[in-house]
Formats: sequence, structure tokens, C-alpha cells
Amino acid sequence: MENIIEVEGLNKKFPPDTHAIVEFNLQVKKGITFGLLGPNGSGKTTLIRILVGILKLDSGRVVVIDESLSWSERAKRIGYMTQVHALYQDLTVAENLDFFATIYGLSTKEKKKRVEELVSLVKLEGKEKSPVATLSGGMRQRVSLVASLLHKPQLVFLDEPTVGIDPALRIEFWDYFRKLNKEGTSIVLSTHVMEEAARCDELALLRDGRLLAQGKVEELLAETKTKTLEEAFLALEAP
Amino acid sequence: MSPRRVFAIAKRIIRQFVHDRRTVGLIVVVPILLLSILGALFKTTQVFEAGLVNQDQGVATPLGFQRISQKALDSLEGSESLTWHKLSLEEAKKDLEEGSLDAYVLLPKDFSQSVTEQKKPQITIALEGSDPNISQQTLGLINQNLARALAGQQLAEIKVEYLYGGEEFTSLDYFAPVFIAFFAFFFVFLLTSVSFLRERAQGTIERLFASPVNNAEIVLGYFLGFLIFATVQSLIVLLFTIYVLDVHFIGNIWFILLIELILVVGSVNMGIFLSAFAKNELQVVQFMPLIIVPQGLLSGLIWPIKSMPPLLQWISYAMPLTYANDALRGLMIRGAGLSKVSLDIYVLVAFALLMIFLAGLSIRRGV
Repeated sequence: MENIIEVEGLNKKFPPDTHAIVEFNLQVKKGITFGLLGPNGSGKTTLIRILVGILKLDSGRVVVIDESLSWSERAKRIGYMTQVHALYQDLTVAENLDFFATIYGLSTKEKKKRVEELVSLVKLEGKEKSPVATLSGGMRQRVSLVASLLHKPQLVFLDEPTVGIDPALRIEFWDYFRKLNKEGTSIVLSTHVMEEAARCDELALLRDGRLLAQGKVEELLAETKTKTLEEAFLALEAP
Repeated sequence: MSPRRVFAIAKRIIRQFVHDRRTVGLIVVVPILLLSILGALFKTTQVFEAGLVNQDQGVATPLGFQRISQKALDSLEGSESLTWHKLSLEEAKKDLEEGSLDAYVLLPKDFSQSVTEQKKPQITIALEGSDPNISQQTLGLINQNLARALAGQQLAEIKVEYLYGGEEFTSLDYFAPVFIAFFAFFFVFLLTSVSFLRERAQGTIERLFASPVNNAEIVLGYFLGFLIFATVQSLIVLLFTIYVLDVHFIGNIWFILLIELILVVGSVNMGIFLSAFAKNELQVVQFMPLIIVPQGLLSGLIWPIKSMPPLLQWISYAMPLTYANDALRGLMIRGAGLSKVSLDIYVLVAFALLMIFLAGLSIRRGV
């Protein structure tokens, strides 16, 4: 399979009257950074949660990584960074990372290596023994990112990964995403920031649970005869 | 099922506790504090004060003038829990009003007269009466004392035998076993539901659900994590009641821990189950009057189930703590073997299984 994600005719309703995802189609190629762009409430997080396997779909077809994989095998190959920090506030950074690494089956040696590697990448050296509750929002965001990458997942879902992170570190994050892509890791991230979306290899534009368009940034601009993503978004929304 | 993942969850829960020293302190200190208070309450015997007003004017008989009441009253002795005070009627009335007396007994002027005429003299017992409990106990003691004094000699010597326990058994011996179950049930339920609620609130449950961890591993990990604290707590409670409060204990400690284990399985899973219906910690706390208080009142903890109205008895028999209490009393007081409390064990196992089922159903609720 050339695509790491294939979605056809996906629907998800939340009773009583929210139709969160409507007749959704999506193809994500392997080894790229794919962006889900849309305002709050457009269905980005719901879509990610369905793809991760937390949420059941009502109808449609969803293939993630490989259809033949068992639920737990697929879970091992997926990394998920949630929108809230989703860390144990009362535990230290090291304890949190140790827990998530163990859950994903890393050996003691691997754990040590990966934690050191990733902690230095996000510049949290020296903070290992601090309880998460004492960290700033940006630091927690970084710990959260590390927690979802520890087990070297094949496919990573990042729900608004760079919120609350200073611009210098944001650039470093993006460099790292590129490095991951080169190593064959596929990344799906959601954002509502146009400038960030522009960095993605491909984009899906979402509005009210519907797919407005999917393609490379240049393609979307060409198609809508616009110069910026913002204008493209507005042009697609209009009809 | 991966043991590594189960232990990882258990380890994480233990670590969270170790960071939260206050909670660790509370699960040890609170039961000991409450047991000390109960111990002190049950060990002190209450002394009741009764006044004795004798207005008997005596009667002239062929054998001379006699006050028949005098003879009886000479043999009227107080007991450990009842003290007699000879008073005038005015003094007695005043003391009763002021609360220094719980009751007084009034022998009428014609007491001797009535007795010689083979009539029954009327003795009045006046009670303070505002606390029915005290009234009842005082009345019982006065009746006992008076009956003994007025009946004169006892006709036979009565020998008392105990099947279980003994003369030195106090109420505390009867109550202590059930508190072991009560504390374990209560704390494990409270801690699990709050921990699980936090897991939902801070979003870590999302991460767990996206990971290869399955429901059974979560439930088992939680159970193991809390079991350690429940066991430590139970041992402390048990040792404290046996050695410090001097409660009689003739059972096998392993049997007690087994009952405890089954109860904790039920309690952990009930915590997970009910946490799905709470949106915040305040709501969890509100489950307590619903879950804990009725069990405290109706499980035979203090009031015997047999003396309850039928409806309440039905409710009692629907509560897990009722069976845990019965089993623990059997094991601790009567030194019974497990086979004697097998029904209790079956019911507790069934309760645990039901809660595991419900926890499994609700664990992904609201995700």
C-alpha cells in the first residue's frame, strides 16, 4: 500500500444532533507530513481519534497502516500526541516517560537511550526530576511530544503540536519532523494556523466535518487561483 | 494480556501515591484515629446515677413496728454501672432536673402497709428521659437491681457459658473485625474513583486507549496498585486492633487477607465503574453518602441485621459489605474455617465479578 491512511465515506455522529464527520474521504501517502487545517470545531480532533482507534466510526471505511494488523499491533506502530498535555501531573518527567515507554514495550536499555535522545532534542535536560505540574505549558507540550515518539512509531498523530511553543523551538520541531519523514515516519498533524499548515507536504482543508479539498499547498493555491492559504480556504468555503 | 503493561500501570499508581505523602498518611492515620476513638468509647463503661427516695412510713404489726422496705433496701447494692443515692423527694427532683441524676425510684408511704395487706405496693421510677438510649439502659439496670433486692435470696446459682467470645468480650471485639473491611472498601473505592477520574480529566486515558494497553490490563494494573495500599492499611488496622486495642482474635490472618482481597477487587472496579458517571472530584465525594453511608448503616456494622425492618433487611443482603462483615466476624471471633463462611465468599466473588463486568463496560465511556 502506497498510502498509510485511506478513508472512504466516513461518517461520525454524536447523539443527539452533532454530525461531526460527514462523508469524509482522505488519502495520506507514506513518509510525508500531512496537515489537517480547519477552524475549531471543524472535526480535526474527531478525525484523528477515529484514525488512532479510540473512537468508533458510524459508517465508511478506514484503513490505517495495514488492514491485516491486529488492534494491538497497529497501536504499537502509532504515536498520538493529544491536544491537552495528557501527562500525569503528579509524576516527574522521567516517571511519565518511563511509564509510556514501558507500555509500548521498550526494554530498559532502549528506554534510557530514547529518553535521553528525545529529552535533549526538546531541550528539557535537567528537568527530568521535576513533577510535570511544576512545568510551564510549553515544557509540558514538549514532554507530551516526547511521550508520543518514544516507541519510534511508524505513524504519528499530533493534535496541534506547536501550540504554546516559542518560535525558535517551533523551527526545531519542524526540522525534527522532516528528519522523521526521511527515516520513513509518516506524520499527521492538525493545526488552525495557516503559516504552519503551509509547511506541510500535503493538506486537507476541513469545515464543519466536511473535506473542502485535499492536495499539496501549490495545488490548492492553483486550483483556487489564490495566493495564500487563507484566501484559498475562503474561496473553497464560499460555494 | 501483557504482565509488563499491567505492572507498569501498578507501578505508576504506586509512584503517584509515593509523591502524594499526605494521602498515604491519611490512609494509615485516619483508620487508627477512628479506631482509637471507637476503642475508647466501647471500653469505657457508662455509670448511671439513680436516686432512691424512701417515703415508707412503716406499719404496726403484731411483731412491732416495721419498715419492710428497709430490709430490701439494705440489700440494694449498686453495680459497676449503677450508683444509688439516698435522697429526699425534693432533692431527687432537683437533681433529676439539673441532670446529675438519670432517674430516681420512689417508694410510697404505704409501702409496708401494702405488703402486709398482701397488696402490691406501687413503686415509681422517674426517668430524665431526654435520651431514650440512656432511659432504657437506666431502667434496665434499676429493674435488675430492684428485682434482686426485693426478691431477697436467689433460689439457685446460675452458671453462664459462652459458645464464642467470653465474659471479657466487649462490644469492641464485636465491632473491630468489620472495620477492617469497611476501611479497605471505603478507601480503595474513593482512591480508585478519584484516580480514574483524574485519568479522564487530564486526558492520559486517551493516550492509554491509543496504546496497546487493553481494558483488562488497565483494570488489573489498578487493582494491583491499590491492593498494596489496601493490604498495608489492613495489616496496620488489624495489628492495631489486636495489639493496641487488645481486641480478641482467634482466627487465621491469611483468611482475613483473602476476604479483604476479594473485597478490594470489587471495590477497585466499582470505583472505575462509578467514576465514569462523575464529571469532577466533588461529584465523586457525593457518591459516598450513596455508596458508603448506607453500607455503614445497614451492613450489620453496628445494628444487627436481624432486628431491622424487612425492607431494610433486603437492602442489607444486597450489599457486599454485609457479607464481608459476616465472614470477618466468623473468621475472627468464632475462629471459623473458610468452609463455614463459604456463602459469604461466593457472594463477594460474585460482586467482584459483576463490578469487573461493569467496569469493563464503562471504562471507555465518555471517550
